[in-house]
Amino acid sequence: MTMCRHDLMREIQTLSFACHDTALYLDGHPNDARALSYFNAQNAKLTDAVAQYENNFGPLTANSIEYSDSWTWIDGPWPWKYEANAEM
Amino acid sequence: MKQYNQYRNMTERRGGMSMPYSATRADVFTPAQYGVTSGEPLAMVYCPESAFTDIYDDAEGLDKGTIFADLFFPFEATCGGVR
Repeated sequence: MTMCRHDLMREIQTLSFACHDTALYLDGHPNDARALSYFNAQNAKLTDAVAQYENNFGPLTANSIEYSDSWTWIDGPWPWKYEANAEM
Repeated sequence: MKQYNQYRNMTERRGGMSMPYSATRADVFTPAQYGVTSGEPLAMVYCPESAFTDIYDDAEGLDKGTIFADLFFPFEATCGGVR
């Protein structure tokens, strides 16, 4: 199943938020088994979604560009362009 | 350094991030310049231990700004102010 660019970006944003909020909780409850397993599950989904996005639509950050003779970061839309973002 | 060690002891004992020290009555006693002489503290806050329950799904969490149903308190402005 390949999602469209907007849906995939939305998926990445929601999963990133869930991971971040769970991480904040874990800062204060480092041994909470339920929170730990939730973080691991959502983080794995996030990793998959990021990989799927980057395979289909190019790097999300300049750190994940493919090494090449030219600077491929500029091939995709700039991060502030409508095409690069999910509608909220 | 002494303060740091005190902090370390406190956080290690509680097993995680916590208050850096326990406030005593003397720490929060309101000075007379505030016009309060009966010994009430100027301000006190409390923070109950939160629990990892009632977690919104991912999309709802991002929409609401928290994944914790316990922390979702929308404030709606009305003519009379905020309720």
